[in-house]
Amino acid sequence: MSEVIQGDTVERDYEVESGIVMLNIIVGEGQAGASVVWLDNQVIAKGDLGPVTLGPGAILTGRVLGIRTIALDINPMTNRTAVTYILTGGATELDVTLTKDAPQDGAAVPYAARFPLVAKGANV
Amino acid sequence: MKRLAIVLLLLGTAPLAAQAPPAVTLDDLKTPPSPAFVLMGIAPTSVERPTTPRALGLALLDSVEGNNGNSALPQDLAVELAPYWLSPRPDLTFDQYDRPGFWQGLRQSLSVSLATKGDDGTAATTSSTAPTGTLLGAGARASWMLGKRSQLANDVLAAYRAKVTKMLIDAGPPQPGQPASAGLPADYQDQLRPFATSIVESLKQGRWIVEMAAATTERFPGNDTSHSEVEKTAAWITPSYRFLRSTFDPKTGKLTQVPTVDFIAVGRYIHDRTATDDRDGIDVGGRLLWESTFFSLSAEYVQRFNIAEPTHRLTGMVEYKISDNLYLSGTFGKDFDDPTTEQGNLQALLGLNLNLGAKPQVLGPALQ
Repeated sequence: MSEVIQGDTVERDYEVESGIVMLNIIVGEGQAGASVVWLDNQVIAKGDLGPVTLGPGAILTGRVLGIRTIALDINPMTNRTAVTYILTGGATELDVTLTKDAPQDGAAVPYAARFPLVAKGANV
Repeated sequence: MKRLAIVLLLLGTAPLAAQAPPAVTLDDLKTPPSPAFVLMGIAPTSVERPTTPRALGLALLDSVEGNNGNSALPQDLAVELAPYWLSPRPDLTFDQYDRPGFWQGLRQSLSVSLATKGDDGTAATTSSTAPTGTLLGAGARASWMLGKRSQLANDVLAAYRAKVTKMLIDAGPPQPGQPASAGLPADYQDQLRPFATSIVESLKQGRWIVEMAAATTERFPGNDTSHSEVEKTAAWITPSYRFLRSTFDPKTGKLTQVPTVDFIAVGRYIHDRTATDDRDGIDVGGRLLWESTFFSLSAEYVQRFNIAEPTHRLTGMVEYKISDNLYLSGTFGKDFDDPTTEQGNLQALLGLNLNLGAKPQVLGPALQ
């Protein structure tokens, strides 16, 4: 069940373990999108992305996953835009959807997400 | 006997082909965007288009409250909505939207139009036999896009994604507390908007689009909801193809402004119980349309079946844009035969149309 946020930014800690952490980005509402993914300051993926393998939790701990996405309103049926970020392979699955209306047809809507990757139990 | 009619309509909004004699006067080949309104002759500018269930509820409530308790039927309601898009679709990707299966394509393109027109009393004064009572219309429309995206569309999408990717990389990774647009160029909207326009247009080129629509109108004599009579029923199917003609400049994000060429085939059935004869016309035909920014030319052939004396129309049409709201239009050729008149069917109509709203599609009259 995705957490839905009416807005264009999100920041959440994500607890990692030893498993391989995966990121999936879904630009919804039929809109055209593109994203860039950083680990700290290093670009690790860009474009119209499918699932991205981030690596085992052990080498991710303490790093920050940063993502920027732009959704372009090309769907004449709606001005809604939405981006869903899904992280798997950690202690739990993180599934968060950001949604925002384009101010007009053809407008671009930028989104930004930060996920500090922390060891399981670090936030206790 | 042949007729040559030259009509000059100065600054008039009346449709040109309303001068033509056929009993059934549905002259625009394209599937109507709001079929119920076409059957009822409702102006599109007065239509509510709710995009949420709440907005739909408010529109219905307004129309019921507007009748002041005089009728159980909502009065002067005109609503058009796309049911699929009343709910958020955060999981629907661009590829799924652009290349849906048959049923998904119908679901996401389905729009429903619903309207009522109250009895304004004019019918009773003009004819003792004219129907009175609220008129209810309902219609639906859907389309299905066939085939793969063109190379042109793929090129536009690739250029758009490359542009966005560079912008985002230049902006750097998101920082805590910053807005999502932080680091983007101040004019990023202006830079990306041409790509949106190009994507939408390029997706239409080099592909077949099959549009289907149906509508019906019912009269409630005396505004009595327990009794109604069907007046008109119509169905349309229009496969159309826009030829691939544009080229793309990845630097500006714009397509070249070349004239478009469209082929539109049509099949339509109209049952009209208000007509005195030929109540069940079936039309089959097609149109080839060449259109530039200021000028459009088209040729149309339509065969009408299922009437006492089957007939056809073969016409050429020309339209010149004088300004955003002013068009010079001409129609030349042979119109449908009209058995109710001794006049011939040669068409030569010239008109000046003032259009407050969307650009007409060469001929834009509705079924009257």
